[in-house]
Amino acid sequence: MSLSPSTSKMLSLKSSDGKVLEVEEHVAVLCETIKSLVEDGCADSPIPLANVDGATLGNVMEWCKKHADQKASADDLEDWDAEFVERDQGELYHLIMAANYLNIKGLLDLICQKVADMIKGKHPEKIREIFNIENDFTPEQQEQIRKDNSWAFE
Amino acid sequence: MNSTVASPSRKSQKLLNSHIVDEGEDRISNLPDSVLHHILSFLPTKYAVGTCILSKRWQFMWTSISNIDFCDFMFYSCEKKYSFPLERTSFSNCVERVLILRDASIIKKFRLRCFASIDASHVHTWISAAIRHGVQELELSTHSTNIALPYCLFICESLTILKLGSGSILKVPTSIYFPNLKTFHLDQVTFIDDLSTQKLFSNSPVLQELSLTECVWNNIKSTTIRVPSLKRLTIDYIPYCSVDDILDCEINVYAENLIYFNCSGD
Repeated sequence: MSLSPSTSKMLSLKSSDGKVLEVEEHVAVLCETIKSLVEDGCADSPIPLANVDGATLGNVMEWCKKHADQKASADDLEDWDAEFVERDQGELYHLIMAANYLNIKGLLDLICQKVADMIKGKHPEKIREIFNIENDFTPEQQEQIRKDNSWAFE
Repeated sequence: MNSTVASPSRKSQKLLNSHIVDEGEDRISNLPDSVLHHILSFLPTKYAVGTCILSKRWQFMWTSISNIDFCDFMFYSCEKKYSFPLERTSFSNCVERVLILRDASIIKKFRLRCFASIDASHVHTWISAAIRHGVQELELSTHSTNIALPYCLFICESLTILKLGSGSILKVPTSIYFPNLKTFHLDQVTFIDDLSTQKLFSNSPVLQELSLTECVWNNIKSTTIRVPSLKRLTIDYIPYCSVDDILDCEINVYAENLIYFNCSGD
């Protein structure tokens, strides 16, 4: 089976909200989940992706298309990726879930790095505020945890 | 890529998503554990542990991180720089705590960078612990001159990347075998004699990249690097070593698959 761009055929992908996306096979197989379906000859048309909505699937395939382009240089991809992750948290959340479900390591790493950068070096109260995390510790519990791990908060 | 869906603008995508996730919702805590572990693995370990106080969901999340990355520099704040002994103890305790309290999962990457002097026996124990956890990438950088590496490092099956930077003499055991090592970097180490150096470089059957930068070759008369699988080799001479020292040292390289070779000096 050839997955080279010149001979690549089209695959139909169906999102959770019923949208159908036509994608070149050599682009879609960047998703390991789709790649194994194709390799096992189980790639029904269209392939149902029950956990990815249409908008997110469009974004994911945009990333895959860029990264399947063998003409793109490493620097070019880095710049492109930096712009790609400039999104609100809702979109990042759906992209991370999709990258996890479709098993796209490069995209998962990219977005996890972006989220890690949002956490890095920030005060816990600030992190809770950024991500709307509810502090469900009692003040006593919080004090004890802070004491046990005091070095991590200095 | 042809699309049967009209390519939605960024703005309309945001509208779509706002139907699915309400503003103000805690999305990050809803991610699966495996994804949260992955996110925390991109942080220096100090920050990863710091997330334990966010909420109950986060309290023990750091105990499964696959990358451990400690740099003592993060433990010396400017106003405390004159209290090195106390801070050094604190740094050691923290590394130890993370290694002891973590769960049994694999440590993929263990990076330890120490700018202040560090107790060699601690480093020995930490590296041994990382190897027990199946470490694949190990990076150690210290300025200490008395670091002794554990024997288990030199026969470690899980290692694929090993980077050592140290002012130490590199004492190696008689038996060395790195079955899966692909990348090996040595920076500023002192080689002890011809034979042990030869052993160090000739027992890695799948090694592809070897980089020896600013190492001290004074004790070496003639040694051999025999790695048929090697693709990239860099030997960078120590800049503060006299030219005579280098000229006295003969390095024979047998690497029939080499595609990149860089040998430079001062």
